[in-house]
Amino acid sequence: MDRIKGDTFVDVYLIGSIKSFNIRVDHRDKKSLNVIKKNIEEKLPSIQNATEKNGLTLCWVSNDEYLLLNQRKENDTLLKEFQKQMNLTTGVAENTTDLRVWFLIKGNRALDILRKGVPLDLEKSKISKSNFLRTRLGEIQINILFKSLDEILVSVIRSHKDYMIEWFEICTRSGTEINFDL
Amino acid sequence: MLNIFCPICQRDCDETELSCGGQAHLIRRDHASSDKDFYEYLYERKNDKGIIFERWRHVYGCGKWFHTARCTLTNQVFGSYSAKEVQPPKSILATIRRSRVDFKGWVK
Amino acid sequence: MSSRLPQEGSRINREKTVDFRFNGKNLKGFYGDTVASALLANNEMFVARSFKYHRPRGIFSVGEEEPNALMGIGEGPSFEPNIRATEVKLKQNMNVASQNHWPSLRFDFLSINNVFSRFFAAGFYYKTFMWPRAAWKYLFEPMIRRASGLGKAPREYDEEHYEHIYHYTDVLIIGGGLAGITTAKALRDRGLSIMLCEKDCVIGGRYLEDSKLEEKDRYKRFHEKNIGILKKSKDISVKLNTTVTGIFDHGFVLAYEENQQSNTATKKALWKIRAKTMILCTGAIERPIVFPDNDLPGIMLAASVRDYLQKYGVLLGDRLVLTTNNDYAYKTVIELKHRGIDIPVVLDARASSENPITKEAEGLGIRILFGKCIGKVEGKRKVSAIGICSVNGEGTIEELIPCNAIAVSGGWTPNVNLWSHCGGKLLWDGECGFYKPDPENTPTGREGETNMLALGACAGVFSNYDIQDQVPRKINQLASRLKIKSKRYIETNVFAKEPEKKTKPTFVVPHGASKDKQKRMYIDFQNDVKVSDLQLAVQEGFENVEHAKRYTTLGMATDQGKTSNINGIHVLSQSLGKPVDKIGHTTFRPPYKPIPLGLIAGQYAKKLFKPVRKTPIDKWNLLNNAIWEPVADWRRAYAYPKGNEGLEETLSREVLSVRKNVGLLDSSTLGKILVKGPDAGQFLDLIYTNMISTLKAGKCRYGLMCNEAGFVFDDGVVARLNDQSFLCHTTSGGADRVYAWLEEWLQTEWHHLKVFIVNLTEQYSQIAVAGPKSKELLQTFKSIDLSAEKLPFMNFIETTIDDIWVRIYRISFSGELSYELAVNSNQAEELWNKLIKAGKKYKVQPYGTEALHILRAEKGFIVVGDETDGTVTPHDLGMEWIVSKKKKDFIGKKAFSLPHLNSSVRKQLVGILTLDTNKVLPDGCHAVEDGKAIGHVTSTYFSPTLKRSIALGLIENGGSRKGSTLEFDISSKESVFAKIVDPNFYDPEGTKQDG
Repeated sequence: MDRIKGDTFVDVYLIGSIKSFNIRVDHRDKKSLNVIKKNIEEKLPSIQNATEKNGLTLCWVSNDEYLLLNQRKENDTLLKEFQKQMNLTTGVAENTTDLRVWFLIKGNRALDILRKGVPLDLEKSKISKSNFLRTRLGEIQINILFKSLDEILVSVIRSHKDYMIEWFEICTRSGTEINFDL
Repeated sequence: MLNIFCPICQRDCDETELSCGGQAHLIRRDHASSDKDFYEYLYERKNDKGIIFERWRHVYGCGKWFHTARCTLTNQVFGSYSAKEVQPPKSILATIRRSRVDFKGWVK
Repeated sequence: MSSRLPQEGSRINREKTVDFRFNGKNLKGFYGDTVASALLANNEMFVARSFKYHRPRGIFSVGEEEPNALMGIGEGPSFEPNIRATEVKLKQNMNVASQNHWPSLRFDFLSINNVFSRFFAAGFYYKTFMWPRAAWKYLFEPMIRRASGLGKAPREYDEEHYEHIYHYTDVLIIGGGLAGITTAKALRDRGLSIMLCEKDCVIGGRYLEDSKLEEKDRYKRFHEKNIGILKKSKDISVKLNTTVTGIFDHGFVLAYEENQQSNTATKKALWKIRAKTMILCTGAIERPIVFPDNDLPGIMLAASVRDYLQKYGVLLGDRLVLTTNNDYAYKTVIELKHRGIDIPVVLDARASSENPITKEAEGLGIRILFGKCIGKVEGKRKVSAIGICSVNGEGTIEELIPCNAIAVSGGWTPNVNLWSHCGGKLLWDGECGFYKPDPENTPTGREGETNMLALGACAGVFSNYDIQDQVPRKINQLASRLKIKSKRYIETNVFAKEPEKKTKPTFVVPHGASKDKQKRMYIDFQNDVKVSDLQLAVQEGFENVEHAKRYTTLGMATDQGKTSNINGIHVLSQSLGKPVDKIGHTTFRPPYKPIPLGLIAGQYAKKLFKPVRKTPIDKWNLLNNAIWEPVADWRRAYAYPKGNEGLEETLSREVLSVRKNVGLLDSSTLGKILVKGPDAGQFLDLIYTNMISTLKAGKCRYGLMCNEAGFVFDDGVVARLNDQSFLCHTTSGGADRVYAWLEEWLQTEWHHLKVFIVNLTEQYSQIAVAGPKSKELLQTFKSIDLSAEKLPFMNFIETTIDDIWVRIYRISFSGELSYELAVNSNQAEELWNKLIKAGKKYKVQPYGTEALHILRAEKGFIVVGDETDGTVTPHDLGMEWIVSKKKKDFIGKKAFSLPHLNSSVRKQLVGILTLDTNKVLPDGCHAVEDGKAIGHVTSTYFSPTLKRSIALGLIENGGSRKGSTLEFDISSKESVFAKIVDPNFYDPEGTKQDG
C-alpha cells in the first residue's frame, strides 16, 4: 500500500484494485434476488448503505444495482459459483475488478478532505459506519465507503488515478486543514 | 445552484451531480407516425414562464433518470418523481396547487 | 495633516513595527494596521488619482466601501491591482503602489483630462473619437489604451493557493455585529447547526466604537462575555475574515475567506455553503452628503474618522469640521473633542435637533450651525478651508473656516445587497431616506418558503437597545415557525434606551446649487460621476434608473456604488420630479465585493482543471517518446517518433510496417458496453440501424447508431458472447455518451425490456496486432490456434497468452490481417510487453492514432466525427446496406423516410485524389462550383502506401460525380484540382484481410 507523499494532515494510501463485481438485478425477479441472498448476504443493504459478511461487502448503488467487493482470497470459489448462477437469471454479475482504483484515507481529519470536493452534507452525526455514497469529487465521479469516521475508502475509475493522486497531494497538505475561529 | 431531491437515492443532490434532460413527458413518435407529429417530437419544446416539468439524470450518483416539477421564475421545486410516469402524478399536482392557486394543470 | 496619536488603537500592536514601501518611499506602521491606516499615520493623505479626471484623492472610509484608495499591492507573481487600501493588512516589506497616473502620483500628465473635463462628461465616448476614421487606428486607439484602465494587469500567473470548501448548516448568520451575535446566542442549544460569517478579523460590529466614554468598560465586559459564549457553544461555528459574497438558489451561499494574518497554507478559500435558513445581519454603510468640491483628500466619512481613531490611533486632521444631516455623526466630534482636537464648527443641514447628543457637543464647546452646509472647499491636494453656506439657496459663501479635515455624514444605508440577490424585494423608507428589506417579499427557498430574515441595521433598526430588544423576539418567532424545539430565549438588555437618533434625508446640498457648482459635486468618486452628469443623462432621455446607471457609469466601479447609489437615485428623483420609490433601484448582483478569479477556480486549476485519462499502456508510451493526441479526456499516442525523424517519416514508417510486417496499437480507450438479458437482442435491434439479434454467439458484426433525426453519431463492432449477452464497442470519445444513451432508452422509454447494461470500458484494455505477420507473432504463444477455420474473419475466441486471459477478435480497421486482443486492464501492460518482446523477431512497430487514421482512410473506412458531423446519414455515407429493411422499428427509421433526407443535393461520401499527387488538401477545405461551395474535405493525408495524397470528403450529389474533376479552394489566392473517385483507395477487393 503506497502512501501519498508529502507533509499531510491525514494519511492517504493507494490500495489499487479490490476484487469486485457489478451486479444488476430486478427486485421484482425473486430468482435473481435469491442468488444474491443465498450466496452473499441474506439482508440486502438499504439505500446509501453497505453490508459486510466474511470479507464480502455488498454496496447499494441504485434501485437495480449493487457493487460487491471481496477482500478474502478464500471467497474466490464462492464468487465464481455466484457469478455463474447470477448470469443464468435475468440479472448480471460482471467482474469489474480492473476498472476501479481504491484509496484509503486515514486520520481524524479524514472528513475534512472530502469536504474540499464533495457537494454532500458530511456532518459527523449524519454519517454511519456502513454508509456507501456515490457522488462527485471535483471534476470526477467517486465511490465512498465508510469503514469508520476516521477510515474512509474511496474509489475512482482507473484512468482517473493520476488526477486523484494529484488532488490528494494538493488537498492534504499540512496547513490546509479546515478550521473555525474563536 | 439548484438542490434537487433524487427519489432513487432518497437524498438531496447539488445541481453539479445531475445532468438536465429537458422537457418531460415527450411522446416518442416512431415509424408509423405522421411527419407533422414526428417533427413536433424532434424539435418542438415548451418554454413556459412558470411551472415546468423536466427530466434529470443523477449522473454522478445512481445514474437514474427522474422528473421534477419546477417554477422557472422562483426555482421553487414541487417534488421529484419516477421517470416512468407519462404524466405528473396527482400528488405533485396537488403540491403545486397548494402554493400556486392559479395553476391551470399539466398540459400535454 | 494626518498623524498617529501616541496611545490607543484596539487593532494595532505598538510593539511590532512593520516596514513597507509606498511608491518607492520607505515607511513604517504597526502590526494590525491596514495599508490605509499606516498611510494616514505617515501623513500620506493624497494617495490616489480618480479614474476619468485623474483628480487627487484621499482615503474616504475604513472598509470595503472605499471608493478612492485603490492600490497595486505586491510584486511579480503576487502582484494584485485595484485592492482597497482599507482592506489590506500591512505585512513586512509589503510593496504598495498607487495607480492610474503617469509618470507619477504627484506629477500626472494625464490629469490634463481634468482641464478638459467639460468634453469628458458622461457618455462622451458615444459622441467622440469618430472622425476622421483613419485617426482611430493610429491616434485615438493607442491614446485611449494608454489612458484607460484602472490598475495595471498582472503579467504573471497567480501563485496564490486557493481552495473550495463545502459546508452545510441549518442556520447561516451573515454578520457578527450586535444583531448577529444576539441571534447566535438566541439560537444555540436548540439542536441546530449554526454558522456565523464575519467579514472582519474580529466580531462585535460597531457597539464598541460607538459607545460613550462612560459606557466603554461595561461594553467591553459584555463583548468578552459574548466571545466566551460563542467559543463554548458546540452548535456555533464562527468564521472570521469571511465575507458572504453571493446568495443563490435553494440557500446556496458563496463566502470569501481571506485570512491575511494566518500562518496556514490556505489563506484564501471559497466556502460553498448550503443553508436552510439565513439571518442577514450585515449592518449599514454610511453615505456622504454631496456638496461642491467634496472629493478632496482630507474628506472622510464621519464614522470612519472615529474608527481610525479608536482602532488604529490615527487622526485624520487636528482641525476638523463636520457636515451632517443626522445625530449619529456627532459621536465623531465628541470623541475627537475628548482628545483635545479642535472642532471649529459643525454644519447640520437640518433646521434643528432635539437629541441630547447635540447638547453634549455644545457643552464641550463645539459651535453648531443648523440649516448650513459646505458651499465650497479650498485647497489643491488637501483641504485647507471650507466656505459655509445655507442649505436652501444657491450656495453663497457666508463664512470661511480654515481646517485640514472634513468629516461628512449623510446617514446610513442598510446593506441589502444579499437580500436582493435571490428574489428579495426592497421598500423605500422616505422618512429615513433609504431602501430596506421588504418583509412581505422575502427571498424564498426550494419549497417556496421564506429562507432569509433581516435583523438589525440592515433592516433599518439602528438603536442597540432596539436590536437587543427585538432580535430575541424575532428569533423565538422564527424557531416556532420552523418547528424547532423552542425554549424562549430571553436576554437582559445591556444597552440603555436612548432618545431616537434622527436623520433628515438630505442628499445634495446646497439645494439651489448653480450649474457650475453641480459640475464640482461628485456622487460616484471612483468613476468621477457628478451631479451634472446625472442631470445630463435625464436631459438626453436616459430616465430609467438602469439606463442612467449605464450612461453615466454611476455605481459601475469596483465599489459598486456602496456610498453613491442612494445619492444618485435621489438626484434622478429630483431631476425627473418623481418620488424615489417610483425610480426604483438598480439590480444587485454577486459578488458583493471584488473577488479574485483564482478563487472561483479554487484548487481546480492547472493540473486539476480537467482529468487527463491515461490508458494502462500510458507509461510505456511516455518512455517511448510518444507524441500525445487528446481524444475526449484521454491522452492517446499519436505517433512514436524515433531518433531525429520528422513527423512524415515517422508516419510513413508506422503505416508501412502495418502494411508489410506487423504493428501494435493501444486501442484501450474504445468503449465496451455489456448488454445482457432475455431482451438484449431486441433492444439492440432498436438501437442500431442493422440487425443485431441474428448475430450468432462467437461472432462479431459492425453496427451503426443513429439518433432519432436519422444522423449517425456512433459506430462500432458488436460481439455476441452468448445467448443473452452482447458486448458493444463504441468510439473512444463516444463511450460515456453511448452508455448514457442506452440507459436513457431503457429507463425512460422501453422499461418493459428485460435488459441490463454494464459499462466495461475500463475493465478491458484492447491491443491491436495488425499486419501480414500478425498471425505468426501471435502463434509464438503456444496456447492459441489462429488457423482460419478456428478464427475466421469477424469471429472471436477466448484463450490465454502465458496465463493471461485474452479475448481475441479477428476484426480489421486497417484492411490488413489483424487481431484485436481484449485483456483485463491490470494485465494489459504485461501483455503489451510480451507482445513487444515476441514481436522483435518480426520487427514489430507500435503505431499511433495518426497512422491508424491513415490506414483506415486508405480503405475508405469512416471515422465518426470526421466523416460525420451530426448531420450525416448512413445513406450519405454510401452505407445503405447497413440500414435494415426487415426491422419494424429502430431509432432513425422514421427519419430516413423524410423527403429532406432523401434529396439529391445531399452531400455524399467520396474519395478525392488531387491531380498533383504531392499536394495534400487542407482538412475542411471547400469544393467550389460556379462560385458556390458544394462540399468539403473530411479527412486528408499523405498515403505512404500509395505514395501520394488521398482525401475523403462530403460533396453534393457525390455519388454521380465520380470521375469528374472539381476545384478546391485552399485560400483566396490558391485553388487545387482533384478527381472524385470511389473512397476505397487500396486493395478494394479486400484480399489482404486474410493475410
